[in-house]
Amino acid sequence: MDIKAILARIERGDRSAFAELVRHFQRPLFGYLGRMGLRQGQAEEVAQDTFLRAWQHLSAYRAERAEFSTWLFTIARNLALNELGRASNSREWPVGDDLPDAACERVQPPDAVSDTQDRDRLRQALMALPADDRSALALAYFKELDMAAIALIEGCTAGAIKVRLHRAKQRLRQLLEST
Amino acid sequence: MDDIDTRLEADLLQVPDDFTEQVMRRIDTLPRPTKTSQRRERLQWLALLGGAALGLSQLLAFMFGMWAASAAM
Repeated sequence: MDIKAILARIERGDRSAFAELVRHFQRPLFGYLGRMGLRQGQAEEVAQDTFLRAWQHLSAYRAERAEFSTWLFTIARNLALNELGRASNSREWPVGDDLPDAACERVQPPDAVSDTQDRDRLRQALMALPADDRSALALAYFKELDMAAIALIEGCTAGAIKVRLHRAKQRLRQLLEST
Repeated sequence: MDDIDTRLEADLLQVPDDFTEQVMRRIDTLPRPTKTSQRRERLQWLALLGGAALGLSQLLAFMFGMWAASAAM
């Protein structure tokens, strides 16, 4: 995808070009937010806010400083951490689609139930990691970001990122094996 | 690639089918971003630094004045 060309089109007044950026990054962004431990509703809000903020501050983006993906995921990281902090401070209870159904409206096949339980277990294990380790781990699975880019987003060195990743995976493995 | 990698690479969340449309609807209510020139940004930073330097020099002058007045007593 030619980000430079898309940004040039937006500068010339073609708003619809931004939709191409949204379509390209939406799935990796939701992937990141899921690995950060956000629930579906939270992730949808944070993802929307990420793109909105990117739109509002597009004039501040400098291609010579970082790739667009790095810049976008820096915004996403900050919003995700704010949301997680806000949710834990307000001791929010999950609502809507996040609530496990007490009485199912429709019967779910056993595989679907097991998948949901698996994802919940993984989510709880991820939430037990320190936020910095979790964020580094969450970013590592987006192939457009290399170690240098992740280090830029996290505000540390590539060496520190490698340490965080190793530590996070080890801890995650321990947590999942103990459940 | 181990089991952890497989689980973390899987889609933990779903992207709503109309997500792009939702975002673009909100963007339609916002003004178009205008490119600020780098030169203008540098001038803005220079003005900010100049103001800070002026403020600091006034503070130091005040402190010196206080010291001079108290030393004269």
